[in-house]
Amino acid sequence: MLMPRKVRHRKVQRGRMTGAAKGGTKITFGDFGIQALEPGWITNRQIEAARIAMTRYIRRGGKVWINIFPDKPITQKPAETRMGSGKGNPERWVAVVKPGRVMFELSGVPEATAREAMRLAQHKLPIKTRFIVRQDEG
Amino acid sequence: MADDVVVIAEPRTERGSGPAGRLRRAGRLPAVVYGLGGEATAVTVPTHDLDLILARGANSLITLRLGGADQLALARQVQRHPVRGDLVHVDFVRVDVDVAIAADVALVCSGEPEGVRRGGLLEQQVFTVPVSAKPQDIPASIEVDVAHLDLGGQLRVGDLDLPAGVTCTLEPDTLLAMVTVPRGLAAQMTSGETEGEGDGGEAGGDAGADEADGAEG
Repeated sequence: MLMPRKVRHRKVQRGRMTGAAKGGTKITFGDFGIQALEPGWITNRQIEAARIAMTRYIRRGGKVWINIFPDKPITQKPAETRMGSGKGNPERWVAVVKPGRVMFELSGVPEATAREAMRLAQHKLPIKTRFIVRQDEG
Repeated sequence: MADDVVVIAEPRTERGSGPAGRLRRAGRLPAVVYGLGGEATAVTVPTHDLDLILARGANSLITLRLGGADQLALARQVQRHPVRGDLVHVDFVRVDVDVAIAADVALVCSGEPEGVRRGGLLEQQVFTVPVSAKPQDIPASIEVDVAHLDLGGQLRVGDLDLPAGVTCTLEPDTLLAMVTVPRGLAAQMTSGETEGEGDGGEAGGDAGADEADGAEG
């Protein structure tokens, strides 16, 4: 599961997700991609589930790139705990994704295979996404 | 190289995001023209016309008609909305037809490599090639046949067949594409036995390492 090896701060504030992605909005490595259309937190479990869905479908041949990294710790207080006594414990890791961000890339497979593999992966993600194809502006 | 096309530009006096937004909603695109020692001029151009021109090739030679004077220009720094893909802003750089300029040209690999037919994976490392050429000589794309590449075969800048008057600014031994051997196939080739089960058929690299983790999880 993706997570940072070490962090400067164990707990961070939630932050805002306004606006569109500033970078990583184009396909860089592969031929096909999944682009976010909504802002959201993508957990490392969701990233892993999407990656496994893709790699199982494409089997041999093809390469997958994951362009997001879950580096934000999310805390949670234990169940049935009274309020107060400070911030909860880090429980999971998320990547902050804004609209336009290309989260996964794929190459080495025909478009029909990539479309289906990414459709399966899209179902593992908590936000609206779309399938995109590389367009080189030479 | 596409034929040069005429775009009617109008000078832009108002600056800032508010006026720029109003222009975009009115179907005009904020842009700036600079280069050849002249001063930078803020202009607007028809968005739809420019979008059609750029669809034919990002290196299309454009004749900007600004205040009755024509100037040749190329579109650079084409900014698009990350989700909608609409044009947001364009830089035009003035060009002289007799002076070579730098441009990025799309590299298109055609044909199915021999190595891919044998189970390999074509990995393209470079998708746009920086070239130097006179504006009218810049090709829309550089097509290269990769059908002869076998497993482990590499395509380098020196192998490119560039049109006359076009030179690539990369080193000749820069790797453009290669046919890699997926880990599963490499294991088969070395051990000679089939390891069909599991989903570890991904190519090497970082994603391959992830797959090994994920298959157990």
